[in-house]
Amino acid sequence: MAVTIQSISLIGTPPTQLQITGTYNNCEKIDVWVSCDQMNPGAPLLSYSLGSPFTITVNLPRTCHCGDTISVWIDCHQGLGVPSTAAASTSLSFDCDCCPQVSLAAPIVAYPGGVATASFALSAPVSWAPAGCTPPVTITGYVWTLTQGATQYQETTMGTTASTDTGSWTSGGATATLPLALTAGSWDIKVRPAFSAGQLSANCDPSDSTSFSVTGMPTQCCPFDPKTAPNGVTVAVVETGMAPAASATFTATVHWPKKCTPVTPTQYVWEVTDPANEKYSRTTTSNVTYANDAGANWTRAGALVGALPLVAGNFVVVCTAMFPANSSASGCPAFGSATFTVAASTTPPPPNCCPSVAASATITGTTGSFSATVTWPAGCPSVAASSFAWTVTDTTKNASFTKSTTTATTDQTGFTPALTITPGDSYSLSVTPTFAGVTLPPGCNPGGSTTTTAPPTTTPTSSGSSLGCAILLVIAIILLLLGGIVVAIGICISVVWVWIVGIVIGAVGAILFAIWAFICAAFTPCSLMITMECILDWIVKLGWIVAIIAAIVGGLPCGLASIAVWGGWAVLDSILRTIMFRVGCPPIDCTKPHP
Amino acid sequence: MIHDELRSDGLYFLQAGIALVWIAAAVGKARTPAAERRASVGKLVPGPAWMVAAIASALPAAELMLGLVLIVRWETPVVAAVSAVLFLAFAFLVGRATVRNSLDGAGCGCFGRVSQRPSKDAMIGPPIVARNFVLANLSILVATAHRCACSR
Repeated sequence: MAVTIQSISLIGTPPTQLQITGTYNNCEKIDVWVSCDQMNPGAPLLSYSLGSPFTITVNLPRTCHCGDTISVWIDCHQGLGVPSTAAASTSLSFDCDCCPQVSLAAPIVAYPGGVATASFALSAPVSWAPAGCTPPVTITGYVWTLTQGATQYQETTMGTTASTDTGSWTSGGATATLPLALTAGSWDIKVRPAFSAGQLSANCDPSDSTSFSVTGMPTQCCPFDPKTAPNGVTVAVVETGMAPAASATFTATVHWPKKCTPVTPTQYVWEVTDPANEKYSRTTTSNVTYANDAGANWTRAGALVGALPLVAGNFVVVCTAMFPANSSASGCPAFGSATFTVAASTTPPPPNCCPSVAASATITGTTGSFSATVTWPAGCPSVAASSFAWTVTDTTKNASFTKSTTTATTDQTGFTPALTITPGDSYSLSVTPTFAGVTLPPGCNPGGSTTTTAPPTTTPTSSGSSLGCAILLVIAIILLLLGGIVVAIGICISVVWVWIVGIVIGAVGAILFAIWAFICAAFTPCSLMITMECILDWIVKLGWIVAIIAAIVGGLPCGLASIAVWGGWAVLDSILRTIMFRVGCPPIDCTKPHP
Repeated sequence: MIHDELRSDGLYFLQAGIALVWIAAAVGKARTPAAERRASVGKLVPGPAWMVAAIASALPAAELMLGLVLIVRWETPVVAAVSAVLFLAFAFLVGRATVRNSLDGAGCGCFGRVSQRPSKDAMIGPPIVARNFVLANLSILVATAHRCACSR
């Protein structure tokens, strides 16, 4: 005569029944008590006599609540009034809400290549609470939801980590482009386990979420070096040999301002223009390429030509660097160029081979365009000139200007002394080419000349809007300069209203400058902006002298005010330079006259 | 006290330096032929020929007087303020001529013929504007420093 309880378990979500399994022998019947009140178990819940082993399912007493201990007693009756001599009991915790506990670690935000990415992970393995409770479901994965305002991305992973630059994120049901575009601001990441068949308690929230910030994506930051690489890239050419056996190595270097995070270009697009003005192209992932390496795949007009044909003459190589999309340098105009001359063999041409040279000059307004065309007699090798010596004479003023180039065309800049085209004046142009490595026959002195007249000025070239914008810029800068002076005076003489007046003047200047920057910058002549920038540049270069003297003779507050004003002008200079760069003005060289 | 004396001496050196600039400008202009002087002034000052000629004639004497008065410390705050205004006016006129590209690659003639030699490729206007601007600031410093001394 014995009773044993093998197991008891809760049934339902949340649990509403209790299943009891066990065995008995030599009992007429068994009485079963189920109670959450051990002090007052009350009457048996049922009597059972259908044989052993037994599986009994009973409804949980209404007095049982989540967190209670459920006790089960079973008594064995031998029958005919024979009292119970064997009994068994057990108990279990009434865990209605066995719930998985998920905890997110702090997201890790990084900016590789200027692109914001975030990585997510659980801070600890999933646990179930209350401890030791029976999980009603099996975790099959994790659903990650990334949101910012109306933007939402979602991904399900098998593991406990996720990243915005990998995986299979979706947005609005469609596959999202990786890496996800994490715009600046606060983002929310939420993770919840995905389950097999089964159901968690309504009281169970198995998810966890946290927020993280994506700092301002670096604004577009383009390669630039005002001195060596005004367009961000320099190209170096190393050539060996002479045509037709010449070879060349091209190396591009991208120059980054200190404020920029360098971005590795995805590819370099090379274009070489030969002396006949034919263009050859090639694209590489490396910053170095060759004219005739083993895998040379130069193309001309879309057709593969293999090695670059380096004939004698002047070449121009242009390299354009391409940057990854979504990077801080995406869309930057980054290119550079170099010229190089391939020398011909030193074999002298036949005695009758003397080239003829035709010169051409075109003057429009205050700009001039000069070109030379070299023609060799039939049967002679067509050797390109390695350099051209230009002489422009203003016959009206009887002044001459000289210049040397490696190209067959040039303009009015770079002459010595500086050439200023005066409308109405007459000019003569003479050009003399030289041929590197070529010995010309005796008596052969190739050269060409022409004359032209600069058309007289008729109408002003500035439109109304550009004139207005120019005036706005000048007034703004004058006010900013004067405002700074008045503020410094006010502080130096300790008169409050003076420096308040200075601040007002400066504020008006700043507002006008802002209006100009946002509305007018693109319509303002670059020549004016260059002049104003150079004036500011010189003022900044010399202004520290005033600041130091002010500190010595005016005292510390006066000196500090002067230094602050000087710094303000330096900032203004920098802003103006940046705006000029953005609107596409040519590189600034304050030592040369602007065009 | 020693500090005040040093400050006073330094201030006078600064004042004398500015005065010497004016005197050098006056002497340079006086040694320049009148026609060239008129041409230089004409590049900076718009107006009828008689006005340009009058300014060109009067300028050396005015500059010399300004320099001498600064050296002898007569009414320094007022004279220094006048000096500042003149420097600012020159800065404005040279800046205006630079923007209009009317310096013709030559200087402003501020120190007579010596400052009018064409420079090969240099952008001449901006450093001249900056120089006048800095001299104006130094003149203001002299004027305000004397005011501070009076008020103490």
